[in-house]
Amino acid sequence: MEETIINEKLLLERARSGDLGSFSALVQAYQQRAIHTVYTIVGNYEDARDIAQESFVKAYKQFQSFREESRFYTWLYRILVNTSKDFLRKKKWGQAVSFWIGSQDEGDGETDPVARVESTARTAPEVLMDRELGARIFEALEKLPFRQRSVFSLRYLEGLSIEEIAESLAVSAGAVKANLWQAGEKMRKCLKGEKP
Amino acid sequence: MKNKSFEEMDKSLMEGLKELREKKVPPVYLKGFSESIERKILDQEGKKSFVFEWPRFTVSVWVPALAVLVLAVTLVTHHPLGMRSLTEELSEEIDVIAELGEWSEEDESSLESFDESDLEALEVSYAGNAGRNRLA
Repeated sequence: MEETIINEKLLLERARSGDLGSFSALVQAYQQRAIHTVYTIVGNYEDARDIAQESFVKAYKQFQSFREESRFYTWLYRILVNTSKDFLRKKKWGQAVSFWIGSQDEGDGETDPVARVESTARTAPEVLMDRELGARIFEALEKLPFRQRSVFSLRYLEGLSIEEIAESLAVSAGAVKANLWQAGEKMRKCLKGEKP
Repeated sequence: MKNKSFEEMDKSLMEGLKELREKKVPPVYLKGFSESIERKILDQEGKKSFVFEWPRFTVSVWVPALAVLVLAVTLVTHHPLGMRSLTEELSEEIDVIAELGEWSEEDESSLESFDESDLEALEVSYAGNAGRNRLA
């Protein structure tokens, strides 16, 4: 365990000085967690992989803003959550646009990035897997405001502590608890079939 | 929100969602993941260095031209015969013309009746004054 921490510290130092090989080693160490985190927020693996890749590229570019006192993965979580937020905002806007102009552009579905997002949204095995492991939870999560959704995902689907979530999202531990409470209540109602 | 109820809810959700939390990402989504990121970074760095050449070239060409332009503007705005004095003179002329009003037939006829001897007298008196000025 101690050896892993020392190795990570060394990799971080090298990556900060621009060593792409060391950064790639960090990516390999965190890729599983990164994709899983984004998956719990956006709800499908195709998009989760793309968003995680974009987040790692952002992390490499912004490495100068990473401070040694914060942990690398909490810093990375912040980038992952923000990139997911941007993605969902664009997707929502895209859905609104395609709703209004969709009937005119039905033939352009393959070249339209918004339509492409929709087409890759859920593959058959994913739908099956989700059904087995809690499709209803993801459906209920989609109805939550983004802050509550990300806090809920990081806590219950990713296993972060309250303090780690607070550090990742740059909010107080009290704010995390309040958001978790509200999200938990709404999720409970959604899963019972009540209106949240 | 009571602390006890939060802790209860937190505990039950942590237990209830354990299976979902421990779910692994299918290997197909991890294949070539880091290589793809490396490629994207290298592509973007390549584009960045290409774009960087342009400002260097542009700056070397435009810096002297901009310097000359700034000097010219400074000279014009700060010289006594520069922009300010010119605008002042122009506004004075406009005031004089406004006072004179429209050129009438009477003005025309008074000019015709102007005696040339008066003009000569004026020239002599001007020459005299100039001489005095020189002597002084």
